[in-house]
Amino acid sequence: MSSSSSDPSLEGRFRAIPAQGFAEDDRLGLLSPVSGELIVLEGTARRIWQKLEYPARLDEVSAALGAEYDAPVETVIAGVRSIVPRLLDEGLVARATGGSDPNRDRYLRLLKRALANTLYPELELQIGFLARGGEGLSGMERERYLRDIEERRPEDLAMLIAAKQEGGSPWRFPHSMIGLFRLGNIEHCAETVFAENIEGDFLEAGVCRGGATIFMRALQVAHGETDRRTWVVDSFQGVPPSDKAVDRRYDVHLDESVSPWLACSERRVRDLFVRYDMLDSNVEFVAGWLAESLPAAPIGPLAILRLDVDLYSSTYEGLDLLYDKVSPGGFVIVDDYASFDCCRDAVDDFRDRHGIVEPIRWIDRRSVYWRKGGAA
Amino acid sequence: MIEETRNETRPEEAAESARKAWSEPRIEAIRGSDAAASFRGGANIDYGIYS
Repeated sequence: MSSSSSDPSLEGRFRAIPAQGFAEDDRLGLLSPVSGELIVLEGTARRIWQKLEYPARLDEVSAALGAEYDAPVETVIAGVRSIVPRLLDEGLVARATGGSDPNRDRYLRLLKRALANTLYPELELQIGFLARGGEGLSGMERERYLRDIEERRPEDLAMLIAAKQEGGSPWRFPHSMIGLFRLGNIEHCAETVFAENIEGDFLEAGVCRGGATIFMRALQVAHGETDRRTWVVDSFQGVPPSDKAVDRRYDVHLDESVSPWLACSERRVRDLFVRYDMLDSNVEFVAGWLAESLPAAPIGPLAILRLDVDLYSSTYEGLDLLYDKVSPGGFVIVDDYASFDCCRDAVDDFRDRHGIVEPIRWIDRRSVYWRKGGAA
Repeated sequence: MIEETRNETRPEEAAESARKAWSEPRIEAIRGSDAAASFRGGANIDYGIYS
């Protein structure tokens, strides 16, 4: 298929660029950095934006969607070409510059979806159905319901996919609970680090099953940056009890007795790295509560610091022990900023006390990041 | 059991096109403080599947 339009402004490759994202059913909301409006993409508009996750020509996007949808290809081309100029105007899509590697892009696209489990979402619906007792069905009737669960429960499937886009509950089953917006944010930070040669390793504290750190290592490997290390920091026994004075101010309790799914052993995380073929000598594990384990760990400069440790004490300790290691131009990502007041307070207090003025940017409704100043 | 499942024809499949229906792509801009609230808490939905 070739482009049917002569509009030269739509020739070349385009790519979606990071913006705060919202997801609900088949709707996607993106906060425009240009107009400040929430740009809502529905149905096929959402699919067009998704197809621009990596650099692509519009005729390539149209060809892919033409195979996906029951429509004349001219109709699809016209639809794509009607939407992209608007996304360009809103700063949500940009002309892609530089080289790209389509195979790497496909690998990373697939990996994100494996980690968030948008590849087999029907299994999660089936588990839920069975956990509810099969709604009174048995025998062949139940087998057919399980087989057809995507058609039987389309609204649940749409909500599940939206939750996986945005990173929220239900989060028990996927290898990463942070969702596609936040995985994309890690990728955006890593690409910037690689492109600008920002010094340092990648580190996440509070890894749960390790999905985000597996993706960090995959980005290093896929971009040929294997000399950088990935630090996997966790108690490997869940969130600590909220018994410190600073944590008792908040009614947040996430320890293993309350949230068993947040506790994952180091053995299991290592096994998951092996499954994804990402365990090598530059993946470093640091086990223990942050205040005890981090001071003794031989952690050098960091290009990406990602904190997902929920509580005030853990978040503040993580920043206190690691922020100075973040290189100029490096990134700090805080997963729980809007999930828990305690996390937001810890970040705001740390930034206030250390005079950090770099602007906080939103990734989705829960998570934020900022870029440390001083890059050459 | 497997054999019986394999032989069944789903009526939904027989009636529908194998490909999804195309609809014109739609973009809506929502201004101001109502913007985020226009999306219900997708990140907090549990919808009873695990209860």
